[in-house]
Amino acid sequence: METKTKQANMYIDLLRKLIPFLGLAIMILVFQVFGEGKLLTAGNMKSILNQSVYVAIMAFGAVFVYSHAGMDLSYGGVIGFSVLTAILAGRAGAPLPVIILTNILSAVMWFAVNGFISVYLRVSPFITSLCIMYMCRGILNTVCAKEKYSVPVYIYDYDNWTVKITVLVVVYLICWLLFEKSAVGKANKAIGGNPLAAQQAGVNVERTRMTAYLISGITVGIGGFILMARAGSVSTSTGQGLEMNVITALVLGGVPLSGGSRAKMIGALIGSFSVILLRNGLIILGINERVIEGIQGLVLLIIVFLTYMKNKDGIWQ
Amino acid sequence: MNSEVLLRSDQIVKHFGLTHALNGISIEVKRGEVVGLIGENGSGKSTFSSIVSGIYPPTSGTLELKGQPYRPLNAMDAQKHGISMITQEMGTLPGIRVADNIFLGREEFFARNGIVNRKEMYRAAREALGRIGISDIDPEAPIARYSLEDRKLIEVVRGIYTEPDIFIVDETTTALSQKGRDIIYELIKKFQKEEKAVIFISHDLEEIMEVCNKLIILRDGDFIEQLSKEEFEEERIKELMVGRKLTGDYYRSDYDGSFSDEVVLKAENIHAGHVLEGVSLELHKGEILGIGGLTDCGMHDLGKVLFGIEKPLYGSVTLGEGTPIRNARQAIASRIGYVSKNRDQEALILSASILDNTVLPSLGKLAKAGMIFRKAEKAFTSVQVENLSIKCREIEQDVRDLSGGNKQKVVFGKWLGNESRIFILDCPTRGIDIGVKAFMYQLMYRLKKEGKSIIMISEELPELIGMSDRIMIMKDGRVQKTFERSATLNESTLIKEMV
Repeated sequence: METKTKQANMYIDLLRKLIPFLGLAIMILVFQVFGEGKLLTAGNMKSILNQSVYVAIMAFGAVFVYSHAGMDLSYGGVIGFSVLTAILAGRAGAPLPVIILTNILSAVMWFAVNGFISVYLRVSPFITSLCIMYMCRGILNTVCAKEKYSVPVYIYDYDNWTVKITVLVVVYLICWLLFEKSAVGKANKAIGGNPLAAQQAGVNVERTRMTAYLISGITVGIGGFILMARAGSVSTSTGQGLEMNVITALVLGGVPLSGGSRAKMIGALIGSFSVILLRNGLIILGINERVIEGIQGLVLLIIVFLTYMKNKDGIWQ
Repeated sequence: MNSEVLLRSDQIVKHFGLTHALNGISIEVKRGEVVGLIGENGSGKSTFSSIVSGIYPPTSGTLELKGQPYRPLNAMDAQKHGISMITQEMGTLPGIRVADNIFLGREEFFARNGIVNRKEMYRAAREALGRIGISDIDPEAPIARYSLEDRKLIEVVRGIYTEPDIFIVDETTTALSQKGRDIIYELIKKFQKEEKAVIFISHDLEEIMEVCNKLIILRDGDFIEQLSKEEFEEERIKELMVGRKLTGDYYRSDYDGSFSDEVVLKAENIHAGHVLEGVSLELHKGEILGIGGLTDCGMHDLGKVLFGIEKPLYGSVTLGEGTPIRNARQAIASRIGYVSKNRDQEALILSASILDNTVLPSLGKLAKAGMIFRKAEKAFTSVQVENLSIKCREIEQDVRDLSGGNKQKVVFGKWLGNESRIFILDCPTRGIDIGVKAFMYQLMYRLKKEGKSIIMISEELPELIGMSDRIMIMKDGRVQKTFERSATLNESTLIKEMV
């Protein structure tokens, strides 16, 4: 009896960890079969990987914010702003390191604003980040209204697989170390689980939350550089809708939006591929791009609902 | 006496996923009975009463109420059938008025054409409060104005307003002071006189023997024994609950109240919140300092101030050599540990594992070049799980699934692991069963002998008298009187200073 319970628990535990991987595998299978084999072609794989890279890099940082039960909806707007400022710096003749620094700092700035307002002034980060997203979009709409700005030509050279994969791997490893193996990550998870208990165990709750926003800002900036090198220019629609991709990536990767110890860095990586694959697969099946957004919203809602059910039940979680 | 059976349960079974909370409970509750449900944590008392009051359905088995099959759909439905329960956890809603809480879901009593006559509702609420002897709660005031204790009483008023036939009191008295308890006892007598029934759940054996006229003992979800008033005997009941003979030395047996002269923690003229008005104390090496008083005398706030999580308006907390304590981080670095009175809300992350909870205060120590390895965390946690004999499947199991006593052991494990030398314990044995309680007392005594210092804030006088080297009684935010350890010290002496 005792051992049976233990085995059942281990089985459930294992299953929970595997669900994001299984989900990805099933999606690949379904889209490959029903998409007449168009999914797993070299060209299409490249396209999926290309889009996944910057979503994943943003998702790595987002894990810190969401694991402490924080929130940020400004990813799309901020990455657009980051691309815009970096391109303007490039056009003004700034060298590469300065361009990259501009990418990162302009993103960190907005995340610092959201962090400060939500952590220290205790305004809901939902509202703050929503406002930030609108402000960024407003800036992009204003600056790019008449003219489409392009990157200095040499930047295109950085849109290659060596750079992209290296950046992806390095950022992942650093985030993984910080999140899974250092006090910052553990403190974030503790705050997500119970902020009072975290405080009473000596966690500096405010500073830890602020750090999470700053880390998230840095990864958005890095993602901004990758996106900029790929797109080559900035327009009013740069980064539009990416916040939804980042959040869907976390959810598909099994990162609970309510925070806590279940958040895993690997989830952000798997989830990023899952969300892009989902969108790509639906296109292959011939579904209209506008409709896909609706489907994505529905998928997100269903999964959030399922995780909520599991929590309430008290068995799965 | 009319001995008509009010409630009968037949083979009630309840499973929560893989956990078997009840394995077939068949009991009867007759008119005029005050039935005490008693058992260790996890024995199924609360599960059983929750099924009777409609909070969840049984997995199998049937209930019969006044001879009719009874299957409550929810708590509201149970109340319509005449069964009301006051729960262990908070049951009032914040942010609304007292009267709205009393009549929650029953506003139609006062509604005409869909509009609630609030004046009428306030009047009825005032009357209902008055009926059980409460005059200092304003039905029009927001609920947040009142203490936990008053809110509990408001919940009681809500529970009995529908004049139920069966009134279930689940661990309510733990949260109440003597005045609140007396109100509940009066109510119980009234139910008895009116030939209704009460199901009473409490950890306090003395209380339950006093109040009830029948006892039902549960252990691990099984029915163990039923005792009538004449058969009540403390030792026997304890044995039945635990399932084994208990050793005699529950508290420490010596009356040697000595400790070192070395001061390790010092508070001077602490003013904090609305309660503390100039409290000073000195804690010595190897001392168990007991702090007692009524629940709102300020002793719980004092614990938080000493640990640095509540800032005093005035006054200072310092270590023996004079380093001031300004926040919890600094307190922990000075090797102070704090066990909160509200374990599940403040001391534990329920959704995280035993491991995650245990290592949290010691992350800094476990880090090697900024990195914390799983192996080190596991070794660290295993030591505590073994030392404290925490009953668990594995150390990566969620704390949520543990029983109350084992949860409390995890909290202790955090601070033992961090090598604390000062322990601030706020109601350390609240809501835990006798077996674990005895273990905790032994642990505290061992720590004292090792030269650690303990502040034990408690609402239970026997444990204060049984364990402390000195007892500080507080009243209205001030230190009323301090007693030395002695064999002749008794509860009534302390109560005189408390009220």
